[in-house]
Amino acid sequence: MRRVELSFQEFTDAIQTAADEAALERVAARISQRLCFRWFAYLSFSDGEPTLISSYPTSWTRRYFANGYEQIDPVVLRAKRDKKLFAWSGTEPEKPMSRKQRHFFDEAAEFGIRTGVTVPIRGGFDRIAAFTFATEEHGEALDRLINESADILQLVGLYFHTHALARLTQKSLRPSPLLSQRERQCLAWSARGKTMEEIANIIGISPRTVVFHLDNARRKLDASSLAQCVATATRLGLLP
Amino acid sequence: MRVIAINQHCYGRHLPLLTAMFRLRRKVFKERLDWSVAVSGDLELDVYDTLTPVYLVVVTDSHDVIGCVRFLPTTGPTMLAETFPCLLAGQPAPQSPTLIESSRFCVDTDRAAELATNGLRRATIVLFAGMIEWARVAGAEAIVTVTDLRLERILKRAGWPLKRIGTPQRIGDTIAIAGFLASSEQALSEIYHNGDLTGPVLLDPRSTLMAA
Repeated sequence: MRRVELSFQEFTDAIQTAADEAALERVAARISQRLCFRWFAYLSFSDGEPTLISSYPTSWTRRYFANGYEQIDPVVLRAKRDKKLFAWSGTEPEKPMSRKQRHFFDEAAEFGIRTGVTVPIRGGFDRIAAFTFATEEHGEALDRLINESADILQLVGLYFHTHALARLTQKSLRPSPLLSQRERQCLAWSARGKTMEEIANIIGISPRTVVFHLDNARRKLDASSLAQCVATATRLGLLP
Repeated sequence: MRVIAINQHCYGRHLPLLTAMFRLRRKVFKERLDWSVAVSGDLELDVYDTLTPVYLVVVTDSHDVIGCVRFLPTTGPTMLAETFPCLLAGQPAPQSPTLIESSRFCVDTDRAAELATNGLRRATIVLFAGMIEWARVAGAEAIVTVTDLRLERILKRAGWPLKRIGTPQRIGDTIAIAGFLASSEQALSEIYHNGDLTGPVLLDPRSTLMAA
């Protein structure tokens, strides 16, 4: 599998075991970094009320909402208007900006947030959302990624949105919180006959960390062996 | 023309097919039914796609995706139980480890021009056959589905009649109906016969049941 396909596999495995907002955030932060972006930000509007899940520094997101930036942010305004994925840059805007908007991008730049790609989403239940991959520098590598992997960026944004909606608003579709997302992910692969080494490779963590997660899962389910742990988790319907 | 089954363990490996499928779904289901789907650009996903479904895609020899369907186990949330209980005529939603639910059945009518002998599109018949083949591999005795009167007629012409639960109901612009489709050996040979198919259409079905 190509690297980008491996990353996507890991992302889909991980996101469907993510049970809450914090887990969703970790999963999205990971795929963004694997795709060479420093941060991600998912901003969703339902009845005009914004909800944010992001890996931006909290000092920035706090300031963002305190100043009502979601109402002037040119990226958000464009995401509400456009249907297609677009690249943006605070230093080279696509159209003239107001003084407030220039000031907004200057402030974002202080946190290193200068450029990115945004996936506009028209959600179910009259929602509008935007999934943004952001980073510090605009360069050729970024242009290449957008040209070659626009599909996967779009799919990641849409997958994230759909999962966030299902997890955070539809109780019946929520998975059990008994095991952590990583624990279930490791167990799910173990249930499919993968060794610790293989799981470490697939998920992109060290074998030691795999052992750590599996040990925790074993303790939580009061199992004396990995085989028993997998059997119990399967019986309880905890595994995907 | 072949049918490929894509389960959660090969979403990554089949990323281009998966994307092409979501693109086809957007094209077919866009504005047809006012369901609570999420769209971005030219892709469409809904909440049932978060439940790690198995997808079947019809792929041409030039690797175009011209048809698809989605399968979910009826032991978890299903469209019939959660979204269309009104089609159940007061009965409980069918649930069984040997019953799977199909949804989002579609064929790209622009690109699937080739017709089988009975006047139906060849891609449609191939996808029907793939559905039965996959259901049999997965140990399902039947498929339950929500569909519309138009597709119900096509199913009948293909020799794979829907066994109705309840009566047709208007939902948005469509007349929807729920029912069962047999996945018996007999149903399969009927489809092969009516569609002029010489044998299995599903590519390497065993591999879809194992890990990636």
